[in-house]
Amino acid sequence: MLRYIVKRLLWMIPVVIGVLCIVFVLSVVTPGDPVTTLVGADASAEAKEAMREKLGLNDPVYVRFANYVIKIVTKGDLGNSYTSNQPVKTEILDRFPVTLKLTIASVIVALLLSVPLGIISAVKRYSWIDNLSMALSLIGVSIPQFWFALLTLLLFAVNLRWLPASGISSVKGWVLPVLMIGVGNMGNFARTTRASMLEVIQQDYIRTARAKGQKEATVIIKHGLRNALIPIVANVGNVVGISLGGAVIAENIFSVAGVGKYMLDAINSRDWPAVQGGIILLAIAFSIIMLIMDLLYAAIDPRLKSEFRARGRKKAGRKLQVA
Amino acid sequence: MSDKVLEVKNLIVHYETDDGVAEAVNDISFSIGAGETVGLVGETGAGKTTIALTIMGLLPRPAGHVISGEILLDGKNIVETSRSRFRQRQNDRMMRKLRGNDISMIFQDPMSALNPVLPVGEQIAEVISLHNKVSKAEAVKRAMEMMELVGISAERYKNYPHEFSGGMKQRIVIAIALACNPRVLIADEPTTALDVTIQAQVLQLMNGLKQKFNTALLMITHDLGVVADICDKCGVVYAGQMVEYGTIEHIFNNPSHPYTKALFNALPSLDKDVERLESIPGLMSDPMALPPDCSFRERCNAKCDKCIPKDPPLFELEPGHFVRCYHFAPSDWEVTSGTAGEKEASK
Repeated sequence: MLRYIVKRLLWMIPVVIGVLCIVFVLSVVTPGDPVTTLVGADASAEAKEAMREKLGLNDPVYVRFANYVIKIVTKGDLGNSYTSNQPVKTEILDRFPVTLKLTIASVIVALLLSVPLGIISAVKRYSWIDNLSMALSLIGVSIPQFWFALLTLLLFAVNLRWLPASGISSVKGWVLPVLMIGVGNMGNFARTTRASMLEVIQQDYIRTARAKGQKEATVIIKHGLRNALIPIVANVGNVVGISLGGAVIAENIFSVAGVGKYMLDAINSRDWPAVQGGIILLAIAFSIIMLIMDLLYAAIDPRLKSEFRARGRKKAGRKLQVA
Repeated sequence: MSDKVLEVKNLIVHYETDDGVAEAVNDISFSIGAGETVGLVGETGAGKTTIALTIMGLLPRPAGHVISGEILLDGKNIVETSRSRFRQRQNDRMMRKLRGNDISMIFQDPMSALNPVLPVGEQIAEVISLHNKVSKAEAVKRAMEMMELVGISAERYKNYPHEFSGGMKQRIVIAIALACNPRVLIADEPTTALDVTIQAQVLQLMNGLKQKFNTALLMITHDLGVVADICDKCGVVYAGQMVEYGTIEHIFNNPSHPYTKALFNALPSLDKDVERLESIPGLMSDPMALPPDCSFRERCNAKCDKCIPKDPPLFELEPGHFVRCYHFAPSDWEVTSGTAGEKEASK
């Protein structure tokens, strides 16, 4: 088990290097010059040249790449942001908890609402509650997030004045961003739960549980849900991974200082160290989430555990006769 | 006849679907005494499993309905023919207490009958703590005893179903079914999914435990060999009807209904040298469109002018041996009013 985790963690190194290469190449081929944004479009050629020299942009690409990697490996330094001149590492780490909290809060809210709904839909298939919840989740999945966010802003912040329009300094401020990220996920989770539960409750072991005289609710939760959980967990893993990349739209609309907003600003001003730093962080976060999901699968389904155990215990066939 | 533990009387079960009504079980009656084994044989789709599910109160919803009939457990009716939600729910509540405790069922496919994410021991202990007021530790202890009883080491309590072979899984399923010492055990093709060598072991195990606990056993199978092995009485089911019913000697020494005879002819035999086994021509009647006359008439090779276009009743051939065929109508048997004319018309 531990071996497996260490191995998976080591695998993150090539992943990060690969991601870094791609981002570096993209930063070279993308049109736009960070210097122009920094010193102004009408600055003199000398001023631009001086800035260019200062940022090390005159070096060949491979030298810049080597310098960058060496600094990361030796000092753990991701460089300084062009625009703020602050270390990228601290800037990102300041913002990451906000994004993490927002993501986790919205996923938890979505799960709490959608999984019970999905279960009820599956158990009471084709009933009005099933039809209603599936129609709602279809709307939830298809509605454009930004549009929904603007509508809720208009209603709750502008007209009713119940909730603040921006910022997450108060608890109330969390409601709208969480709702906005959550609503699409809710539809997604509810549909996955329903489909997965529908398959499971047709299984023979559900009939066995009923034949024991078990209560229907216990049959569904104890015997059904745990078996139906794998597709749901897979889905949650993907959603968390993607949302960590910054709930860009939500963070922009509600002016939340998260990773998504930071990276979007960095891309606009061609602030390459900030972009690269952000992407490294996301690659690592995504890999860790995927590792956690794989471990969760094994915790849910004992059949998958043997995969971890069987590794590296080869034995010669005892009945093999050497001629 | 000894005391009847389970008695099924004139049971009629329909599946009501969008495509029509499937008449799965049409007027089935039989009874089982304590320690007795009754076999139900018949081909796929004859309604055997539906009978079992009806007794368990586990008919698939919302399609399955008991139209009429009674199932008496120790003389007490346990089926609800009323469609009133309230009565249904009351019956459900009562059945929940009986299921697993007084009536248990062993399912056909042991591979899928166990929950893959729970340890097998826990699955046995579950039914014990459901029906007995015992502590967790006591339930675990009893579950381990059950495992030993069916020939699986109690050390494997914490193992998961995928760590067992098919035969061992079926032993676990048997342990679950017998954990609360039920009065009636229904075995729905318990050996069909198993190897021949394992089949014999499992049958032996079931038979031994049945005798030990004096359980009434309903054995559903399409294997006449299994019936010969362990049953006391046997019913042949065709298109949801009992076409022949009698003791094991009646059925095996004097098979009388053309369908029963055809089943025996379809068996390979050691002392007869035949090129090909005989098969029964045609398919079983569609339960959505059963013929008004004898259901087997289309495929019958013994049709004669005694066959009238009306569903035959069961005739008593010898005491305790019933056959649903006009061949065995006693000479003084009169067709009830209205059908005599039809008889003439069909000629």
